[in-house]
Amino acid sequence: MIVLKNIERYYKQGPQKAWVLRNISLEITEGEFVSVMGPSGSGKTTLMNIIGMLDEPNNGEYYFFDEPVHKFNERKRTDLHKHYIGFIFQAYHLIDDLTVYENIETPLLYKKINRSQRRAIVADILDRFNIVAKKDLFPHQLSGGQQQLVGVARAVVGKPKLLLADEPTGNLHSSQGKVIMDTLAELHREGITIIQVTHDENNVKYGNRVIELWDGFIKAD
Amino acid sequence: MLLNHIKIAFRTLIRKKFYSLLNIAGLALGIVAAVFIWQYVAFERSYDNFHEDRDRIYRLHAKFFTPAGQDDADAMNAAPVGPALKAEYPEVEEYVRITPEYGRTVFRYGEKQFEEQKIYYTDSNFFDLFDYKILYGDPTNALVEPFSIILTRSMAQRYLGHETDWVESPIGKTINVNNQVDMKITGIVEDVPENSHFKFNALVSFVTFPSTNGDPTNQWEWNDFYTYVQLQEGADMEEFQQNLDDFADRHLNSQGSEEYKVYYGIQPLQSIHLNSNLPYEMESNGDGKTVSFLLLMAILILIIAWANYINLSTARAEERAQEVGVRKVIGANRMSLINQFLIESALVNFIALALALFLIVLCQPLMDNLVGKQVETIFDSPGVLFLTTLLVLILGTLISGMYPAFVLSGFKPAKTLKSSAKGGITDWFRLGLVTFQYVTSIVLIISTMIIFRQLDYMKNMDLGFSIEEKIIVNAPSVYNDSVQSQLFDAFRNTLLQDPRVISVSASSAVPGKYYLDLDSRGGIRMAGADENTAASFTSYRIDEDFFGTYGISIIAGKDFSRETSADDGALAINRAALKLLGFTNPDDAIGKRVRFQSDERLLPIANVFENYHHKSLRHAYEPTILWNHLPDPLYYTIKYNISSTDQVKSIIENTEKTWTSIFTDNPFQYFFFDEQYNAQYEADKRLGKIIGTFALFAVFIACLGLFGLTSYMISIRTKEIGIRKVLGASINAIVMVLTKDFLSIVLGSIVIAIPLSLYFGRQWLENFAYKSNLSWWIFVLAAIIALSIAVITISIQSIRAAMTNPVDSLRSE
Repeated sequence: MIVLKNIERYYKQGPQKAWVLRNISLEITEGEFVSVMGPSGSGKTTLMNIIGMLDEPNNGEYYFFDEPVHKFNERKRTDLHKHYIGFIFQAYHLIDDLTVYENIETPLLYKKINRSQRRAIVADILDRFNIVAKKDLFPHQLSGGQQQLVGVARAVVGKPKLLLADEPTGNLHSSQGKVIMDTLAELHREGITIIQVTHDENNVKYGNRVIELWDGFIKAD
Repeated sequence: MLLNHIKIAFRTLIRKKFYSLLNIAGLALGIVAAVFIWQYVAFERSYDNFHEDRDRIYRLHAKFFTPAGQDDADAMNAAPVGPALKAEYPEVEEYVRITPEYGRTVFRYGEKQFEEQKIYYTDSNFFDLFDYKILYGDPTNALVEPFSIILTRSMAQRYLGHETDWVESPIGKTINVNNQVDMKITGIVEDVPENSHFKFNALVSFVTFPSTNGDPTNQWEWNDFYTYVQLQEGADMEEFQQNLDDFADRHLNSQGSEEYKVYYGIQPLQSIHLNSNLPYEMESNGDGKTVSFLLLMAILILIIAWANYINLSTARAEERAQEVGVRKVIGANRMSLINQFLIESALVNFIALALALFLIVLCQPLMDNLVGKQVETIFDSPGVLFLTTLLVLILGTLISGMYPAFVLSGFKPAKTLKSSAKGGITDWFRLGLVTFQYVTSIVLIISTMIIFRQLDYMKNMDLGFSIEEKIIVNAPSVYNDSVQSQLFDAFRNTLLQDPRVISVSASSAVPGKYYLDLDSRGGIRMAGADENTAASFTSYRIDEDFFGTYGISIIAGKDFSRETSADDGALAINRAALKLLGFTNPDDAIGKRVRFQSDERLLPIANVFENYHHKSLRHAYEPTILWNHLPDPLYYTIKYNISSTDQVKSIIENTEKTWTSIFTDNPFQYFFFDEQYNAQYEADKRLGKIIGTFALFAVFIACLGLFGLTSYMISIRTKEIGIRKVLGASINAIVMVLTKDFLSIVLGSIVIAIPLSLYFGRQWLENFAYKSNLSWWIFVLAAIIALSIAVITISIQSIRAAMTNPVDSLRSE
């Protein structure tokens, strides 16, 4: 599903290069639940962004379902990303001005799915995540765990093949975190490929593979 | 999707009340100002647009040349010009002549009598060219018979009562003029629209003219007639202008002197109001340059308002950056984000527009008062209203929304979702906008000050005569010529019995009034001098008390006196005329004779008087010849001296009593001389007020923007302020840090604004022969005003920010 070959990412700092990712090569097959670990600044988030097509590597090749993403323009990448990838953030990143319902609905809007279909899909998801009662509330009216649940719902509403979760429980109490992780596990059972960044050994247990980053290199896989 | 965007836009608007309010208020005020100015500009440019054939109608004017070049011009020319042109040039389809009745005119109908002005003689085909709306009568033959008169509706109502009370047609009724002739009413026209360069109260058939004024048919040098021609469809204006030169050479220049030549120029009908400022215009016209400046001002104010929106939206970009990032992550493409932000700006613009329209309706009377006219408003025609609002909405949305939309939609989610970018006025575009706002505001402030300084300068200038304590009475019209002077003597002597009345003088014109009162003036030279030396002089007629009454000083010779006055009268010339007639020493001129327009009139110079400002200070001193010969004065000036202003009333009452006992059949009409003279500056004063008012708008809107920008900058620098305080910075030091950026912008704006306002100021001052100097303090004062406003706007918030407890601001992180 995902093939990375010699991916490198750096930022120019004056004449110097500040390396973030170096010589990353890995392969992830459909149905895996991968945990990416490593200390702060080891390049986890950047790796996620590159896989999520939000960022581009300076060098290297990236194949997504055998498509050469590194050769695509932004428009084509956005298209690919829109249809196949869902994101979950540590800080939830819900849109403040939208209700729970609208937050979940927005990805469908961008996919130009018609109104009645949207209604059905969102209703389904709300039901499934047990948040029907909360659908008209705004994010600031929810607890962190609830917000993240909405975040997960929003990420999967478009039926992505790949779910990228950047420390999804980082801001949550452990009990709330468990709910989220259980949800992810269930999604994984249904066949979604998941890559999560995490510091928490407990979360790692949900996955079936660990990639450890150190100063931009893969230290262990 | 659209619905969704609108919903979001609304929520953002409501959640950010403070910024929304600033944005809407700024935009609304900008739109109000721009629409008001635009209405006025459109009105000024709409003059004479109601004549169907306006594109083919031209006015002829005369240009006088001496070997040295053009010497003089005249909006009027001679009566035979029109007929000859029509006979000789096929492209001239029609001509119409218009000539004013110069004397005093009193109309009487039954018991009612009033003095009337703006009465013109005109040809019978007047309505073929001009589309003034005729209400009663037949336009094709209303001006055919002698002693036919057409009245405007208001004038007719003055005599016949209100129109709704008329029981029979006004056509055929007779109105008596000056107790001498009866005129038959052959038509009633709607009152002349405000946007007509020609404003009349009554039209008399041209064939009536010879019986009261003499036959002008073959008088090629009698330049008292406005001539309009209608050219054939497709006729070439330039070709016609060449034909006119040829025409003038054949008819005028070949017969007369080789050296002194007359040519004719033409002006398109619609250009007269804004672009013609010839001697003897019918009305004092507008000024095209001023109107263009105002239009520029309207556009600039609108841009200032739009710039506020751009500034506030992009300054708050970081707040939206996260949202943009999230939206992109969940599948938004750039286009849909641009749409979203444009819809936000459309919503803000829409609300502002609605508010603006409401304010416009509310404030229209104030605006009418400010410009002194009731202009057509955008509400007068639904089409204009619709187009204007649509245009403002679309333009506003695009101009104010485009840049923020592009900036905001361009954020990269990988960056914005991590940490926020550093804010500040670092962006050159935003810096440019703020600078632009301030430059414009300062230019307007300085322009206002320049105008008022010039007005003040003119008010305090020594005019060469005294302006106070005079009333002027319109001289009577109904009398027998032979007794006029006896009646006037009786009037004067009775008034002089009042010790407060200093003197009473009669004249055919008074300073600062209606330039049409001045006599025709070309072709004057010293007796025996070469024809080439003939020149044009301002000229009118005065009695023996004129110089004393007005306090004009005589520098050589003796004042006129009743004892020594000759039958034909003698002349007084001013210093400027002295030079033009070829004298250097005033005493040399005394007793010399002047060929005053004809060989039969060789009149002696009795005295030389000091230059005074007969016309407004727009004009330089004109060479002037005054003739002590006055069979038909137009004005009686009464100079009084009172200890308190409440005595004015009794002086006027006395004068009126005396008047009614002596000039029985004449209505008593008077005005205060100083008011009349200063009325010449009415238009300038008005311009000052208009620019001043809208300068305030501009400054206020710019300040709203600055206020919003500062409060935003401070909100994102709260942490920095906290850290600085923890490190021991004083409140002053922090305020300094916060204000520094903005103050340098304001200072920079001042530097840019000064040369610009100098340029505009000089342009405007070009209209005046006597200019106030643009002293340095004007600019310093404007700079101080601009700086103080900016400092107040900024420091209110800076000080508050600097005083907050750092613990609060640092904890929030």
